[in-house]
Amino acid sequence: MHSDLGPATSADQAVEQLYAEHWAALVRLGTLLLRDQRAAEDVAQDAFVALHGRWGRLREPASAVAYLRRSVVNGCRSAQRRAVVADRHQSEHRGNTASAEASVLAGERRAEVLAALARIPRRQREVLVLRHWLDLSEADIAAVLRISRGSVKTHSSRGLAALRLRLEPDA
Amino acid sequence: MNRELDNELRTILRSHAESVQPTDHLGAIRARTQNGPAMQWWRRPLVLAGGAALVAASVVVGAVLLADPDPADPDPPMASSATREVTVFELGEVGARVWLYPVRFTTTRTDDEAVDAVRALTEHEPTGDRFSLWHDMCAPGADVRAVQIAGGVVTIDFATFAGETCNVEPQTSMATRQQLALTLLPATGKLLPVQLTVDGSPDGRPVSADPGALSPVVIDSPDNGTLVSSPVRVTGTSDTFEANVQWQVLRDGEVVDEGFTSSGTMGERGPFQFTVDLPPGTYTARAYATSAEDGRLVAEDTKTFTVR
Repeated sequence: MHSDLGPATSADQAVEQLYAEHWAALVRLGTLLLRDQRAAEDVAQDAFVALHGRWGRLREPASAVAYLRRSVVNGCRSAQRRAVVADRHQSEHRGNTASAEASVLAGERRAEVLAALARIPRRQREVLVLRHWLDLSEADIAAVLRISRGSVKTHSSRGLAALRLRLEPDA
Repeated sequence: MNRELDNELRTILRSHAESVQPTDHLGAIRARTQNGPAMQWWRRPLVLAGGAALVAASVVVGAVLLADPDPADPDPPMASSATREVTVFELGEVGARVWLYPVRFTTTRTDDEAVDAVRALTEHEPTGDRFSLWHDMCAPGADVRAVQIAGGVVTIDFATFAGETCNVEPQTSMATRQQLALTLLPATGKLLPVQLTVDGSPDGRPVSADPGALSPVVIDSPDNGTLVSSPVRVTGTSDTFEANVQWQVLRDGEVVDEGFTSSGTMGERGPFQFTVDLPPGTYTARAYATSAEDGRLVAEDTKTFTVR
């Protein structure tokens, strides 16, 4: 469907089309990073608005999806920073709710893994989510996060190691 | 072991992601992207005054920034080897125009003056109606690593930079570069085009600095929040029509004194000053300029201080 997005496509059309194809995935990406669907929807909405403003200057319309993903990852980062102070005293409560919900849905292990994922360093979490959920290649992850492919490898293996350490502290 | 965790993570993330049911925001996105009356401030044109006297203006901008603190200032800030005072530039809106204003900000000192200046810009949080694109949109994640001058361009390298959101509009990205160029002036010695890089890769093209983006009226002293003695001497620089500057001193919003002064030379930026006798209390000095055609406000600056 990307092939429809040519240089002649207007910003409005591009946004409509990309929204139809990628809105759900971008909200899910944001939710995996932020653990808060409403905040993720706000971030994804900002990403589309930003894309609209930049459309005329995107050299390759095909890079629009990478641009949207990058905006969502960056937006989640900013949202997290803004939320850190406000959240500190609520996090315990929220954590309990999330894990209770998750264990009803799919058992304790899933809740454990998601909780561990939320506590590893941000960059490692971003790489793991992009790789394991979106199935992006190292090159695509590097483009989204604007880091080198070598860094993608490093963050990925460190992220998995950090995750394992939290899940199996005795292993 | 890694392979197992790999697969497990994949399964868990998928099922978790699929449990998320996004709600529809297309209407909201349309409303924000189609030109409506609710224009956001960063879409408004950042004024870039005509190219008159560019060189002269930049010399005076430099003089404004590099000027020694007023020797009459009874409370000069204590110099400290652990901190560095940087003149950073924030933005203020007058009418539909956005101007740059200098503000003094103290940051930690390293041996790299230019890096300190950029860090100060990202740390500074304006108050009142003033704003900074570096604080509001770009600074989260703007981790400055190096500043280099080469080939007549100053290159600022960030380790990470949430720059996508602040490069949305040409005016926005222009304003962020102007803030940088002027903030870096004492370190670079002259206004240079600004190039950002993120982890070494260029982010956009070099943007030329324009001294015309500086507010036509700037009050230098007394600074916000300072304690001064009466009579109070208010000084600043201006570049206004026929060099006229109007001023007021307000207490609790009421004008207690007002007058006219002039920055001397027409067509270029020059210093102005006025002196007022004030009983103890907190006051706001306002210097401004109005349009000769229709009397509307075209430039202003305010500073709030306390008379002991």
